[in-house]
Formats: sequence, structure tokens, C-alpha cells
Amino acid sequence: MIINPYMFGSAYDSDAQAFFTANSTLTDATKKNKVNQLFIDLKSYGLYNKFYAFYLLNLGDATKNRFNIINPVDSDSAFRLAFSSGFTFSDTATTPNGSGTFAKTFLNPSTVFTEDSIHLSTFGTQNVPSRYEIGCWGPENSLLTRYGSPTTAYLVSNTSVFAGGTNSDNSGFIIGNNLGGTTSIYRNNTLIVSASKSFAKGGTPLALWCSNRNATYTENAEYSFLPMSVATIGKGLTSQQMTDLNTCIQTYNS
Amino acid sequence: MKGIKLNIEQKNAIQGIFYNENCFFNCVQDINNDWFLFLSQSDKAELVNTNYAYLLLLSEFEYVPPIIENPFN
Repeated sequence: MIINPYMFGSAYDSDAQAFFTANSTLTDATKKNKVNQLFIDLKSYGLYNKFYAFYLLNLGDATKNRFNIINPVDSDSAFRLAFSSGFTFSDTATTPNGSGTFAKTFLNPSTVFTEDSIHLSTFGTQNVPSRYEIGCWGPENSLLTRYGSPTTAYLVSNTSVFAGGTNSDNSGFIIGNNLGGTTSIYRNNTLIVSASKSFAKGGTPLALWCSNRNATYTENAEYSFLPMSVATIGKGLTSQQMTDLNTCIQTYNS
Repeated sequence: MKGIKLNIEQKNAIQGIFYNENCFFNCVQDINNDWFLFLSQSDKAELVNTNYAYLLLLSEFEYVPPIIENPFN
């Protein structure tokens, strides 16, 4: 007996299927299964509605990587990415050159975020000295995972309002989080720093791999060197939610 | 690293211009305020048969980034 699979619907989570429908050049079954599991995991932990933007950067090329999986519409208003020249795309990560490569998210915190509720996260596939992994300006909402000397992870609202802690390894999952005036940074679910810092909403659209100062993307942009497979922008999370998000993203990257 | 050095007219002709559906040219200044463009191997392969192929014929020079002080110190 031939069973028509369409009688029983898609084998994937409904939002994963919507992502696959939009991202029609993503055909590899192994990748799709991993992505599908990510959707399932995020929902099972109650995290799916905590994101404004969730980017998968290890799907192989700019066409596949550009979508915000939370809202996979091919438009700036859905926060899909536009990539500068100079990137190297692979099935492992999107790798910048540190000298001008960045991606526009079109997500302006001033119109999207809530005061004192923000997270920015990255999954780095190598350990490299770096600069701004995610950034905006005036005020800032920026994540730096391994900056300066000694290398330090920062979550920044401005140059006098930030949390910073020594970090010598930006491979893996790093999250900068502000919730209700408590700012913390974790790497692979291990605390780097926690501080009482109140964050204002950022003033220019967020960029991946640079600080978008004065909305120019070039002025003192301090471009990142970090190859990433995942980046997220979302609401402030509780400690348990950050632990759960780490689990989801580690599983996706395994 | 090396990059393609552009004059101001060359930079203005491509800055922010999309060369495919997802990617745009981004030029940056070096420590001397000269403009540079960096292309990956896949960028170069893509531009070969386009109106931007002339970029591939321009000379490459060593890029020295501007000095930016650590604002958190």
C-alpha cells in the first residue's frame, strides 16, 4: 500500500516547516533535521517567544543564512540579514575577516526592545581575539566576547555602563543578558560576570560582527574576527532560561 | 592582510551596492584614510562575469587598520 505522506502533514515542526518553505535552497536532510530539532527544543523549554531574531549561520551560504528563523520572511522588517562583502560561508560557520565584514540585522532596539530586558548571544566556532560581535550605538547594546588586553567579555550600554569579565575563550555559547537591572555574561553556562547595571535601549540598528556607530557601519566599527554558527537577539532571560538556551544551542551545534 | 585599494570615486561607485541578492560591497578606511575593499574567494568567483569584474584587476596592498583606543579602560 502506498501511503501519501501529505495526508498526514509535514514531518517537521510547523514553524520549522515555514522556515524551510521560505528557505527553499536549504535541501540537505541532515541540516533540516537539526534545525527542526532546534525548533522543537526551543519550544519545549518555553524559549521560542523570547527572541526578536535568531540566526543560523552554518547553513552553507548567504542565501541560506539570511533568514531570521523566528520570522522567515525575506524582508528587512523581518530582520533578515544583509551581508557585506568579504565573508567565508561554510557548513560550520560564517567567518568574517575582521576588516570590514559585518551583517545588517535591520533591528533597531529603540523600537523593538523593552528597557532592562535584552539578551545578545553568539556561538563561536573558534577561539579568536576579537572586537564587537553584536553592536549598535547611541545608546549601545553591544556584546563583545573577547576584547582588549587582558581579553574581556563585555555587555555594553555605554562606555560607563557595562558589565565586563575576563574571558580568554570565545568559542562556544556566550550570552550577554540584562533582566531587570541585573547584567550577566555566561560562556557555556559558566558565569563570567554579573553586575547591577541598568540598560537603555540601543539607538541604531544592530549589526552582527561590528559596532554600528552613528548608523554608518564603518566609523570606528571595530569589526569582529569571530566565526559564528548561531547568533540571537532577544528579551532578557532568567538564569534557568539561559541554561536551557545553552542546552538547545549546544545540541544544535553538536 | 591585503585588500584592494580604491580611490574615492571607485569607493563611491560601489559602497553599499548589492552585487547579489544578499551581499553588498563594504569599503573601509585604513590608518592613512585610504579606502580598501576585501573580497573573499567566493566573492571573486561571483564577480568574474559581472559589471564589477574590473575590481578584480585592481592592485592589492597591505591593509593597516586604524588605531582605536579601548573605550573601557
